[in-house]
Amino acid sequence: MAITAFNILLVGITCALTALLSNMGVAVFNDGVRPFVPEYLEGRMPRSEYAVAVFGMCIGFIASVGIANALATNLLNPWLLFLATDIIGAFCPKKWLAAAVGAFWGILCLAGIGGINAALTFLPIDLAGALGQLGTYIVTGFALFPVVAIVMQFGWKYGIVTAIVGILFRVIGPMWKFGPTDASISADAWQLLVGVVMLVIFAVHTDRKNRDKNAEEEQGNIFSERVERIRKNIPWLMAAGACIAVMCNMHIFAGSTVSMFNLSDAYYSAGANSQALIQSAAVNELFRGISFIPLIAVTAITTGVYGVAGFTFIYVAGYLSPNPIVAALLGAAIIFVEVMFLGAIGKGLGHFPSLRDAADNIRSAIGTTVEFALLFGSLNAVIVMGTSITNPTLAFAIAAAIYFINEATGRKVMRMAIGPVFAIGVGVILNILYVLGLVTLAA
Amino acid sequence: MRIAVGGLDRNEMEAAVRKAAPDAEVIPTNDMQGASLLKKGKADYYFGACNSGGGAAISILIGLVGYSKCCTVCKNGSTPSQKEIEDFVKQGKIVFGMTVDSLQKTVPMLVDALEKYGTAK
Repeated sequence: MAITAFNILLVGITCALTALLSNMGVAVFNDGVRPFVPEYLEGRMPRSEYAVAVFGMCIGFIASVGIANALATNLLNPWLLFLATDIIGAFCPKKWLAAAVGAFWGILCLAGIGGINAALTFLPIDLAGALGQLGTYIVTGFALFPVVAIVMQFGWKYGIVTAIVGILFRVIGPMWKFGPTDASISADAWQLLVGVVMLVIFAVHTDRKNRDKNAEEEQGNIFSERVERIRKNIPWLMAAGACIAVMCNMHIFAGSTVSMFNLSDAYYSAGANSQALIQSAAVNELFRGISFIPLIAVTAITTGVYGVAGFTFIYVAGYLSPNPIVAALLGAAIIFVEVMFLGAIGKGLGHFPSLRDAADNIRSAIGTTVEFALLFGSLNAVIVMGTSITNPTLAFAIAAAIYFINEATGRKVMRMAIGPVFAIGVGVILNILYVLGLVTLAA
Repeated sequence: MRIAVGGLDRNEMEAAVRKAAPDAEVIPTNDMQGASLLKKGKADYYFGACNSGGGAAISILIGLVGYSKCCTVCKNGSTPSQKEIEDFVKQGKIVFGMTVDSLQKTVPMLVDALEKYGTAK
């Protein structure tokens, strides 16, 4: 990561802003924290209890996926930054304190992760290079999620139909070229698009058939004042949206596991291939964002607290924008549109409960496919390091030991994070063994 | 007992609940519908799972059913404790969130606690 004055200022301002948003109860990143905010703001929960609850909900993620992924990709991520600013905003009694500590944390992460990564390149056994392997299978694995989601929700017959249609569009789709540069949508993107469209069609069809059972109108007016509260805070939210989009655009930030590994490759090693990688990362992030809409929308409507990154579409804008100014404008505009549509989204979900199910199945499917892909990518990294000391089985043994200790002790590190964790672990241990003279590098 | 289940990895959750409570009625649904079922008295409890245990699993239910009735029985990074789960049940909680990673261990403990101390049997 480039530790320039601009980036330091950018990260400082962004994290100061997000800490402020958490402090004022305007927006939080952790979906689990969101329902607690009104409990605190409306006096049913004292600040001390609230802050401890927020800490408990965030710390696990920061320590596992936040730090491990930041080290593995040399990119900042929302868990590392925004879960921490959620905590900072909850603990600090004064606004200015929250902003200051938030800024400090952001800059510390930028310098720390960037610094550690620079140091990693000096290690005798190339950990940093091997970590490039982590994302090898993610794009392919991710492309399978619609079929997995459809099988989860509707059964294997629908899954097969979707797979066939998906393959058809995979082949035919890219033949359609448009625009002055003869651009086309990639085969993976076509497959994803078709899969998600079919999932939505099946879901809406199911709801149409069950129409009488859904005749209830739930939320009504109880939540309209909460939605109003979010609308009042739009300027703050747009500012945060702009800053986060610029961070993505400056190549120092990635939104999630479905994009970060490919972005890291694109920024640090790919060369000629980097545009294609950035585009598939953006496409993946877009679909992941879609799956979060119901959760973020409904928790926002019921609490009056929004998400720091909205529906996460600002990341996509950041990755694809040609320069930071466009990124900032798009980031702000996207948040504006999202907030304006919140009420309508809530009503729509009430009428189509299968879409809510579909979103959860998409999240489950993405979780399953990406965990699988990440596990094997991490094993690749481990084997690459093992081969460099002509002892791949030793490397595997260390990785397996870490994995099984985690499983046996009740999975303190979640499945999504254990891959990068054991890859980093193997790198560290092999380097220690090298320093002790117990392993040697291949000539 | 009528247990509504939702959240991530719902199929796995449903299977685990059916296995742990063969006599209970298991209603596969989602968080929004689950809240509605609870409020209308068509279900006694709701089990949900997500990556953190307290996020997607129960966030929407906290908003719709009320914070005092919801709890996280297994957080990300910890193991479920029978005593803690029983305490939650005795406090009258009816919405239970857990992590997908701890699902298999937590569900039998939770069902056990509900059979012993739950308000609906």
